[in-house]
Order: sequence, then structure tokens, then C-alpha cells
Amino acid sequence: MNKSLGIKDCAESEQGFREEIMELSGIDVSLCYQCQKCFFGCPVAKFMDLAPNVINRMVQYDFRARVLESSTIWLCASCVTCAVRCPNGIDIPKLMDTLKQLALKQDRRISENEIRLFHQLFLDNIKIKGRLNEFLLIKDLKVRTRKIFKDILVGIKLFFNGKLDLFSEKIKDTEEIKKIFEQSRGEG
Amino acid sequence: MDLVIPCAACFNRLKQTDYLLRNDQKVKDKMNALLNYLHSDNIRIFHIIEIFDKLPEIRNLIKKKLIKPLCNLNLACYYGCLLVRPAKIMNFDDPDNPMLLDNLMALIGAMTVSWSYKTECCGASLSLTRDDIVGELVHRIIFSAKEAGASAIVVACPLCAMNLEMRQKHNFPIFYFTELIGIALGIDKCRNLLKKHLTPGYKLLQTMGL
Repeated sequence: MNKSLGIKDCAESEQGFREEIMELSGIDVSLCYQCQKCFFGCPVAKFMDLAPNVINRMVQYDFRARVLESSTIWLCASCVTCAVRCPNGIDIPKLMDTLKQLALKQDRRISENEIRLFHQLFLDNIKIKGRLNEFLLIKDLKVRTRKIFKDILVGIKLFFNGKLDLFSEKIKDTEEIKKIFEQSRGEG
Repeated sequence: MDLVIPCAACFNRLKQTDYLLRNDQKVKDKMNALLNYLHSDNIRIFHIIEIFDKLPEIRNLIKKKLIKPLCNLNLACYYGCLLVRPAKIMNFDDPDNPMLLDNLMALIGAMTVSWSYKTECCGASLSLTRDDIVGELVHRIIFSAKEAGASAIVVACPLCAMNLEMRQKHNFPIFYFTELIGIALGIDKCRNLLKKHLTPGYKLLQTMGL
């Protein structure tokens, strides 16, 4: 796991990335002075390929490919600990969301594809009935990732305890939800 | 009119959107144009726990109807991320050491421990895709609750409740806070609901004579 910033990587730099991110998210990453409070407080940092503060630095230096193809932007659980602790008020979870959207838009290699798939299936699921059907979401995820038997015992227990609803209720106006999805497509 | 929300995630999303619409005219105009929707500044947004804090009538009612105070039950109150962060927007108690749920549990006779994982992240939606990560985070939370001397964790967020139940290997009881209020008020249905948990909450209360 390489959390440091090697000088060799500079070849990858693509200009305009920092400005683009600032434009899309309204976040000025140049405010970061590498105090690493975000890194120390992050509960998932140990699983990321780049620490949150390194993402910040790499955006400052226009390392487009490394940032957009990192696992960090997908592993962030948006717990907001970093943003609360940041002395310069940088909204890092929002930065991660912006980077996720940009990675999808630019068809980058996604290093945590299952997580991307989960987000996609979650939204598709809500589009149908206006609210989440957890059973269908889990089924779709299992079929698409071909991990049918993962968590099957817990799943069966939950089902027999009435905690997994096969048929969730539909909201009154599902057309309205579809309209919202269509109208807000591509908007952050 | 005000809005009261039981789910921590819904509460968080709505409150953040509300904050943006109140404070950022650009966002407001964009949303109004996109969704043809006019935001009203008159609606305030609360989580259920805040209601117990804000309305003394409800607290008095609970005190009056308290049939089975949960004496000797040592609880670790777990708030999770979504109720308290970002603190500037959520405006929900102290973001590092919230006490609203602790106060509520004290009201129904339980004891609460002082511990440092009150607002640690449980891994949220990573639970279905990266259960290894969620397993480790949940382990840390439960380990810390045990270390602080709690015999169960009481949670205020449905997603945290699910993660703490599904992804732990400690067989440590997890309650949702309304269940315990129901039991203290002598509602039998609440007791039976505990049997549907994956963790032995029902047994714990039984051995304590509650």
C-alpha cells in the first residue's frame, strides 16, 4: 500500500484538475496544509490506497488519473469526521462525492467496482417504487457480483424474523420520483 | 408546521438540504428550476430524540407511565455519525460527547456508561460490499462498549443497529432506543419484538428480571 507521494508520479499530472474540482464542488483544496487530522480520524483510512490528505495534495498537483482511479473515493463512508476536524473547513466527503461523479463521467477504471455497483443498484431500486426494497437490492447485488451465498445464513435468519420485506410498499406517485431522477440527471 | 424524523440518515439528508436551501441562494434557484419546487422556510426539522428533550410534557408523561424502570441495566449509548455530523448543520447536541440519548435512558431508569465510541462510524452502506471493513469497525465499537462496562448497546440509528447486529462476533445485545422505552412503559409487544433480534437482548432482560 503506497500512501506516500512519489516524485516519479509527476509525469501523470494533467493540468486543470484542481480548477475543475473547485468549479464542480466549490471546495478550495489549496487550503489544505497537510496537518493530517482527516487521516488520523478516518475510520476507513487503513483500507484506502491513498490517505484523505494525500488525495487533497494530489488534487492540488493535478494528479487526475491517480485520484480518480483510487479506492479512497469509493471507500469513504461519508461519516464526516474529517470535515468536522479539518482546521480549514474543507468538506472532504463532498470532495470525495465530486470525485466519484467525475470518475463515472470520465469512464475511469473503478478500483472498487462492487461499491459503484451498489450505489447504482440502490438508485435504480428507488426509481421503481419510490422507496427502497432491501430484498430486491440484495438479490440484484448478489446476482451481479455472483456472490449468491455470501451472508446467506444471516439473510435467512433476518427473513424469518420478518426483517427483510419481500414486497415493500409503493409510494403514491412514482411518476414524480422518475421525473425528479430525469430532471436532476448529471447534476451534483 | 415542523417535521419529526425517526431515521438518522433521512434526518441528516433533509437537514443538510434544508441548510443549503436556506443559506445558498444559488442552490435554491437551481433546485427550484430543476424540480419546480418552492422551499418553505417555515418547516423546522427534528429527530425524535430532540423531541423528548424539547418537550417536557412528553418527559413527564413517560415518568408518570413508567411501570418497569430498567434498573441495573448498564447501557452504552451509541449515536453514530449521522445525528451529530456535520455539527454546524445538524446542531444536535455536543458532536463529540452527545448526551440526549443518555438522558432519555436515565429517564427510564437505566444507567449509561461514559465511553469514547459514541459517534464513531459503523461503516454504513459498506456493509453489503465490504463487510470486512464494517466487521472491523463494529468490533472496535462493541469492544469499547464492553470495556466501558456496558452490558448492551442502545442505538439511535436504524442502519447502525443493523450493522452492529449483523457484523459482530461478540453476541453482544443491541437495542433500538424506542424498544427500551416501550419495555419500561410496560408494553408487552415490545418485549416480543426483542425475540426477532440476532443478538440476545431478550435473554439479557430476562436474566435481569425485567
